[in-house]
Amino acid sequence: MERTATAPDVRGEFKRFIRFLLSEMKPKGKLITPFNVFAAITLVTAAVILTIRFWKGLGAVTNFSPDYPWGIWVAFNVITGVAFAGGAYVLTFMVYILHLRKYKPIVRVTVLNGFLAYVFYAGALVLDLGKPWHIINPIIGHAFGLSSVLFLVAWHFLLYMAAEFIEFSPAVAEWLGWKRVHKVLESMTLAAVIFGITLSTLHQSGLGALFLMAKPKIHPLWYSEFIPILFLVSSIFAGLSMIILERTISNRVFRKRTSAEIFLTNDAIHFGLAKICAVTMFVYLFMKVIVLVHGQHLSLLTTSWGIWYLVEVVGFVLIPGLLFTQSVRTQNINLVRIGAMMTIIGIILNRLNTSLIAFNWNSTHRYFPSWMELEVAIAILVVQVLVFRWIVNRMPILSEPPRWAQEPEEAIDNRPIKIEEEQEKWKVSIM
Amino acid sequence: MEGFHYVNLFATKGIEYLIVIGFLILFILYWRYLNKPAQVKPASARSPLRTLNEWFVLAKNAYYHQGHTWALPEDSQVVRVGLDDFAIKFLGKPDKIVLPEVGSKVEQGEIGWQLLLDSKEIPVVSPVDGEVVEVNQHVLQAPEELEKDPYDQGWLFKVKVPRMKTNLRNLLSGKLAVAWMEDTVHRLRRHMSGELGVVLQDGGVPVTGFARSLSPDRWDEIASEFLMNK
Repeated sequence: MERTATAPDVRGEFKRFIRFLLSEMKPKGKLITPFNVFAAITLVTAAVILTIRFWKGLGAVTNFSPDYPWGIWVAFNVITGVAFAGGAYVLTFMVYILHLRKYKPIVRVTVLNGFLAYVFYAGALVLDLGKPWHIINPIIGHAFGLSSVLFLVAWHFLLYMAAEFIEFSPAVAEWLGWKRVHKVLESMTLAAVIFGITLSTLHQSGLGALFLMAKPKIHPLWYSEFIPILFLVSSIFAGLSMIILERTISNRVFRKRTSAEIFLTNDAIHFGLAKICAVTMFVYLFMKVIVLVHGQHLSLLTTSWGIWYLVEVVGFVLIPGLLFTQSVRTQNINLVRIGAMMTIIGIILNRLNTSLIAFNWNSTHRYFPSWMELEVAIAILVVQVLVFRWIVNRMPILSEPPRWAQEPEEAIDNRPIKIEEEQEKWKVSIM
Repeated sequence: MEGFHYVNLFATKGIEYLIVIGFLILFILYWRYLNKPAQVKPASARSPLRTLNEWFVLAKNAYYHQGHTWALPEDSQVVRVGLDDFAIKFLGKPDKIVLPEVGSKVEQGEIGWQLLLDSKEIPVVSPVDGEVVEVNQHVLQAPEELEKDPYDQGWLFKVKVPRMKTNLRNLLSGKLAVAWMEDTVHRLRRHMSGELGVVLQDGGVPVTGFARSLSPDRWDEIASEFLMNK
């Protein structure tokens, strides 16, 4: 009896839900824009290339060889991309553990970015595997591969994606209007954050640890037994620089979707992040010097590889570090942005140097990615941007959450001056 | 394992110690340099709040009356009072400012002082109650200061406010002030459509004193609407 009574309700509710989802699938905004045209062309081309890749194998589209079993997809999309996704764990650490509330408004957008980065960059890993269906093995235990660092990386990617999704999921619940679910998800945030930070620190360094087994292949200026810790420390300023870049772009592109709070705290957040970047880069440079001296590689600096090394370390770590420092001292927002751009280039250089450019440096055969590899690498970024845009345009990521999901108003009285209590006497001043 | 060699741990120990000590010293110096107060102008002028359209600037710590005046607490009793960026850009440089005398009383929401512009008197409302304790002589002699820096050098007078908390509660600050300023811009746009045409609508920045170009005959009436002085 009860079932028949409630069934129409549930069905009606379900129908409404499906209709809502379908209506949200429609594009918002103009369809023909330069970016959309570019995205469409890139994606269609990539789809063709990937069909060939899965049909005929890796050799048909890539320049991989036994010397270079991986190329730009792993080096750029996975290894570099994960460094840039580091912003999420740094920022959640600052907000939820250190209680730096100033950065709270941008936590959601940063976590979303990190989450998408992991989804698509781990996805890129599938393209690179000769037998992609084997990616499930370390998870299901068909062949755990316990002795491989990749075992750790695989599990960490999976768990970290889950943790980041939980951190971000209250926004989904707000979008769908699920109040109960929202409450449950919200209560899981802190646990997910702590779990996520632990995982991040381990796999950021774990990605570096992958290279420990390739010592003879990597040029001594880039190889050191401290690669894991160098990767970890550099992921801090890599991630924060990425946040600065994302904020700069989002503040223009999603202006209408941006809440006043995010818009107004933008500059203050920029300077705060710039300061953290400056200090971390200072520490990183010190570690680089120690590693260089410890490995007794000073004499290599005068070789052509040495000059390339100096371009990376001086040109794209020291100089942006100084720019960040100066930007904090003079409160110059443009310097922050230039510093962030240079840092991003520096991180790309560092990761590509370690995994591709200075990898097999003494081999006669050099790898250069085919145009099809480059095309797919760009397509992966484009997909990420499109998904990001779709979500930001629909869920409360940059905009204010709905009223029912907001925290109770904080006391208004944390003003710079202290005002004594006095008797209330209301007076209407404006009519 | 060809190409594999063990690094002699002790070969570079001495120099590494020196580098670590040098780094620590350098880090202290660097930290002190980084945390020195930034070389910028004082607080009120340094961190303007911008409205989304960036036409008009609001000062961060000030409290706003909807008649486009502001109050900035100096301590728990005294506030500085002035005209906001909108009012100044809207009206342009006044020919003369007539401020209340020291010792006289002003009331929140009531006419507090006047501007003389094009031989018209524009009354302005006071954002707070209280007794005028100081008048900015500098701005009286050089009204152009108003345009340059409405929230800093361009303050008009100081008021001793007996009921500070209640007074400030009636005013707008922070996000609310920004929302209100955006609303003002929307109202302004409605006035502008047809009158100033597309130039301003398309992201141009209003020129100072644009009230008069908006409507040469009725500009004082529109001003009254925005300054709430009727």
